[in-house]
Formats: sequence, C-alpha cells, structure tokens
Amino acid sequence: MRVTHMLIARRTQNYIQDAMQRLARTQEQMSTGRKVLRLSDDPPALSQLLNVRAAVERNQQYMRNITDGLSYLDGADTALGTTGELLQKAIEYAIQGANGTLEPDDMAAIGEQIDKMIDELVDIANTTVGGKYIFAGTKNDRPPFRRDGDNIFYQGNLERVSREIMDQANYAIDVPAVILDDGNPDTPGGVFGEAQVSGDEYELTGGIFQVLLALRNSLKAADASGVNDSIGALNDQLDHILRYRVQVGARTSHFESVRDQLQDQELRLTQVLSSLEDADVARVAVDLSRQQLAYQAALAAGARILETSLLDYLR
Amino acid sequence: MPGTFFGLEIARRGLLTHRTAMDITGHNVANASTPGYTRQEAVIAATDPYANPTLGGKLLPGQLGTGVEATMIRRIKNEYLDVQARDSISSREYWQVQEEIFGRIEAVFPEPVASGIASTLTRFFNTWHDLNNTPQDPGVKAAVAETGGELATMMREAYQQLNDISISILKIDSGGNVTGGQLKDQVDAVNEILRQIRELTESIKRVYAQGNQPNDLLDRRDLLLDRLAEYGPVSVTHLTDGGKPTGEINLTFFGVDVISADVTVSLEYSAGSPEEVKLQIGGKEVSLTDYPASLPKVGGLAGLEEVRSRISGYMYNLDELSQALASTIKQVLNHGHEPPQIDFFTGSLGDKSDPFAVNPEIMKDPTKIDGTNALYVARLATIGMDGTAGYKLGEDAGGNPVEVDLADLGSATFNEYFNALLADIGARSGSASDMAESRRTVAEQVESLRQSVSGVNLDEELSRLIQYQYGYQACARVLAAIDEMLDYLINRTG
Repeated sequence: MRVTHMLIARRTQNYIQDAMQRLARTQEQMSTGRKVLRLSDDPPALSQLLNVRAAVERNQQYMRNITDGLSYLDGADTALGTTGELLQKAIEYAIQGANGTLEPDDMAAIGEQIDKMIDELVDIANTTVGGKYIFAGTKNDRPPFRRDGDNIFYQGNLERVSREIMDQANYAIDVPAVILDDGNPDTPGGVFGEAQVSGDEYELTGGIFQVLLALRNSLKAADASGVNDSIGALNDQLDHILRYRVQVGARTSHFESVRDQLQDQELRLTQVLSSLEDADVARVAVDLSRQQLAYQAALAAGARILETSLLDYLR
Repeated sequence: MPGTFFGLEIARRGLLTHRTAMDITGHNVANASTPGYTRQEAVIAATDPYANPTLGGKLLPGQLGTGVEATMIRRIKNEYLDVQARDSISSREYWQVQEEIFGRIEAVFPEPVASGIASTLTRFFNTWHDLNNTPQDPGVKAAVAETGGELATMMREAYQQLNDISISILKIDSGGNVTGGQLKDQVDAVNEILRQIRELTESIKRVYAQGNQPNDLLDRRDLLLDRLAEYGPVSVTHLTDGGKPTGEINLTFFGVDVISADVTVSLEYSAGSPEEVKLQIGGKEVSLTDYPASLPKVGGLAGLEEVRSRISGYMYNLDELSQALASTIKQVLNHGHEPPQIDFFTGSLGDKSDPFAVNPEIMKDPTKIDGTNALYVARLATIGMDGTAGYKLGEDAGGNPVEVDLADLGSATFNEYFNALLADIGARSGSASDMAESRRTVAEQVESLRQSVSGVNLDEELSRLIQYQYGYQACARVLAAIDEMLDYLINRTG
C-alpha cells in the first residue's frame, strides 16, 4: 500500500489521541478507586449496582428501626422488672401486715408505705426512653399516668407503637399500658390494668393500682383478712407482669436475630457493591504504566517519523 | 530531411513539457495537506513522429521523433473507493452524533458516583420510616418535607435538562414550526452543500465541453459529496457520453433525486403520536426513524432524530415516575381521612406554571403531614407497581385494610423503575460510543485506502521534481548544443 505524509500525520494524531484517552480513563480509575464512573462504563452491572445500593440503604434504615425498637423494648423490660420488685416488696409488707401480731397503728404505717409505692409505680409507668413515654401508646410526648387522690388516670392512647424491621414486617415494640374495660374480670388487662373513658382521658378501673389501693385500705383499716386477700391478688399481678416481661424478652431476641441477619446481609451486599464498582488498584496501576509506555512510544514514533523526509537529504 | 532549426523545436518542446510537469509537481506539493485533494500527474507522451516521404528524398532509417508534449493532466483517483468512503462516513456520523448527545444525557444524572435521584428516592422513603417511628415529631416531619422537596427538585432539574437537550436538537414554536436546533442547522447545511454542488457541476460541465480536465473542481465537488454523506445516505452516478465523462451526475439523498435546481430539503414536524420530525425533499416525505428497508439507517440527521425520540422517552419515564409517586402517596395519606388530606406532591414535571413539587403548604408548615399512615407510605418503596387496584398495604390500628391503587410501572418499584431508566441510558450511551468508535475506525481505514491512491507523497514528488529538473537541464543542454552549432554555421562560415 502506498503511504502518504498526510496519512502518517493523521494516524499519528489518532494514535496519540487513542493512547491519551486510555491513559485519562485509567488515571480516573486510579485516582477515584472506582471502575464505574459513568452510566455507560458498565451498563450490565449498572442496574444491579444501583439496586444493590438502594437495598443497602433500605437495610440501614431497617437496622435503625430495630435499634430504636430495641431501646424501647429495653426500657419496657427495665420498667417491668422494677414493677416486679415493687410487687415483691408489697407482698412482703402484706405478709408482715397479715401475720396478726401488729398493732393497728403499725399496720396503718405499713399502709402508708404502700401508698408511697403507688406514687413510685406511677413514676415507673411514666418511664421515658429518649424523651418518649414508653407506656403512652403513640401519644408519647407527655406523661401518661396521673394520680389524683385514690384515682389513677391514663392520658395516653390505646394505639400500639410498632417498627418495620424488614420489608412489610411490622412489629409492636411496646406492651399495652392499659386495655379498655370490657366488664369481664377474667380478660387480662394491660400492664397497668383496665380502664374506661373518662372525659378526654381514661380512668383505671382494675389492675395493679387497684390491688395496691385495696391493700393500702385494708392495712389502714387493720383488716387482716382483707390484707390476706390482697396477697393473692398481688401474686396474680406478679404473674401478670411476668407474662408481659416474657413477651418483651421474646420480641427483643426476635429483633436481635433480625438485626444479625441484616448485618450479615449488609456485609454481603457491600461486598457485591465493591466487586461491581471498585477498581482493582493493582491491575489499574499495571495498566497505567503500560499505557504510559504506549503513549510515550506513540509520541516518540510520531516525532521521529514526521521529521524525516527526502528534504533532509536534498540540502 | 527535416529543416535546419528542427532540433531547436524538439528542445523547446522538451523544456516546455518538463516545466509543465514541474508545475504539476509543485501543485501537488502545495496541496499536500489540502483536504479532498487528489494528486495530479502530467501524462507525457512523444509527439507524432516526423515522416515526410518526398520524391527523391533519401529514405530515413525510421521515423524521426519530434519531441514530447504533456497531453493531459490526469487525476489519480479510484471512484469506487468514494462510494465506500461515503457509506462509512454516513454510518460514522449516525453513531457519532448519538455518542455526543448521549454523553450530554449522561451528564444530567450524577449517578453512579455521586448521589442523585436514585439515592434521594431511597432516603425519601427512609424518612417516612423515621416518621413512623416518631409520628408526632415536628423535626422528622420537616425532614420528610425537605427530602421530598429535594427529590422533586432533582426530578424537575433532570426533566428540564433533558428538555434543554431535546430543544438543542430541535426547537419547535407553538405553531409546530421548526425554528432552530441542530437538526435544522444540519438541514440548512445540506441545502447549502446542494447549492454548491449544482454550481460546481455547471462549471465542470463547461470545462469538459471545452475538452479540458476540471481536476480541482472535481476535487471540490467530491469533497462536498463527502460532506453531504455526513448528513444522510448519498448515492452518486457519474454520467458519460460515449465513454467520456460529461461532468454531470445523478445524485440522490435519502433515495430522492436532489440534483435538479429546485429541490430543497426541509423539516416537517408532526405533533401526533408518536410525534416525529420528517424530511421533505423536493415534495417527497422521508421519515427519519422509520426508514424504507432499502436504505441503511445512517447519517447525522437520522442519528439526531433517533436520540431525540429517546430523550422524549426518558422524559416520559420521569413524568410517569413523578405521577406514580404523587398518586400513591396521596392515596395512602388519605386513608381514614374524610375529607381528604392535602396532597403531598403537587403539579407535574412538564408544567411550567405548576411544576412538580412538595405541596407549598407542607413546605411552609411540615406539621401538616399526617404521621399515622407513615408506615404505609414507607412500604410503597418496596412494592412492584403493576397497576393493581386496591392493593392491601396492611391494616390500620382499627383493623381496617389500608388499600391503594398502584400505579403501573411495569411491576417495578419506584427505585427499580428509575434504575432501569439509568441503565437504559448507560447501555445506549455505551453502545453508541462503541459503535461510533468502530465506525470511526472503518471510516479511517477507507480514508487510508483513498489516501493511498490519491494522497500526495512528498518524497515521491521530490524525486519527480529532481527527475524533471534534470530533464529540463538536459533539454537546455541540447538547445545550447544546437545553438553553438548554428552559431558556427551562421557566423563563422563563409
């Protein structure tokens, strides 16, 4: 094939341009550490890359929901534990008051202790986690329980607080504080018993507060058989609280196992992401020096061949 | 027996011919870098020999040569290569304009390196999860409104930029007339090229009629034909008369004859469905996207229209996505509310007076977002939108099903739908630049072949220059010898 000077000049230009383009691309990969920098860089991997990335971000949200839920559950567990201890103590006092050797004054003094316990229980029922009252349903921005003399009022609502911990999987993270009174004493109430609507709040009608109030009254009245009855009721309440505590524990371990699963998943998804978008630095470095060589060779060859012509020998 | 001064004439012819040849070489050297230049060569032949048999004249041993002349100036050219070159140019341009514009489309979306619509979409639904966690929190509500606003702004900007690119290809006024854009510029260029080709053809015909070779005019016309091929498929037939070229050509562009003086090319926009722009060539309508099977899909015009229709598709997809978001979120937020809540998203992407955005009332006062249904809004993120009516998202606190009429995004979730859009842009952009790269290589190869026939090689020209120079010097030497001889004869004899 006949070769002309214009052809050589054009080809030199093309070769240098090609070499430079490749070099620039590799340099980009080298300095960003990524191999997919534009939509067109790896079209087959792109869709997968974007979907995996969305999945990772969603997972992180689920994990955030779980962590948040766990703190709620921990708060409930602690509160229920303290309530249990309080009940134990009340039972001890009741047994003390029921043994029939105490003077009415002493019994009344114990009754006074029980009254203080009721205040303490109101405080426990108003436990907060991160500024949220955990026994208030979703109306959790103000204290739900209020004691007014011998009446206990509930100002929260009856809705449950829940967290989405996986796709389309939503679980309650609270225990119901109170349940609407259905008139049947056999149905189990909420943690703090049953309640009925009273104005724009609820008044507690049965449950732990009522048992403690009855005990206090019996003690104050020095009614030993009434105190005896209360011991049975207190034991029932202890079982009742324990049942809720078991529920909370089960939910906690459920959330923890889902969290482990999500963490595991995230690790794997991050690996997939890395394999899709991260550049193999060692390989890129080798490519870079190889392409640098090619670029220099193209320049050198162009410079050498373009300066030679018959003119050089006609002087 | 030739006359006394016969040798002088031979020397004169020799000098003249070598001068001509040197001039042609000079012309070649001067045009070594001229695009479209075809090297020329003097066709040198001996003149008719001297043969004058007279009565009693002594018969010569043979015919006596009378010298040399340059009979014509030849263009060294392979016209079959031109056909191949033009085909490869057309094909290259088709992909090259697409490569260029897809590069601009890609630049609209910051993915995959930076966070764009895709990750904001995920973040937006994550804020709804946060709102579900703390349904009354005004701070979280503000975050929902802000992220929604960010998402709407990003979608609006992407839509607007795609629209800008589309307008830079074809600008249409409200009356459906084409008023500007790259397509129109190309059509204007085509008309100008056609005008020049017609003018040159007239000049070429005149030169041929006088029996001369219009070499440089032919080069210019061939170059114009190459440029015409950049815009669309070209076919050229050179006409001859009794084996001799007349300089006339038959020229078709998109299969339509365009050599007649009154033929112009224009663009005809039809707003119908699908909206498209067609070429009007001398009263004939040529579709740019729906080609007749006999023509290959090539040239800048078809490439531009192809990518323009793609952009319309992407804009349509973005619009679908925004409407799907607006309608499903609205339905979910309205669950259990009578009268309905205010809309979360308002407007539409294409509407300048009512652009797609988070409801201004919500932006002003984010507490207007109702947190009770936040969970169901968050769940929308992972549901394949297949157009199901009354899809059950879950049950509310009262045990009533929360239902929503899903949008139809071909069973994709919002994220998947958008990612598919990005993947399509990436794939088409990638294949356009691959194709452009390979077509460029092919065009370059064919151009090399053409250059190898018609290009000027300076070394070659220089050696010829030396050759002709020696020839000239030798003729001058002959002249001097005869002059000396005649001087002796005239001045010294007698």
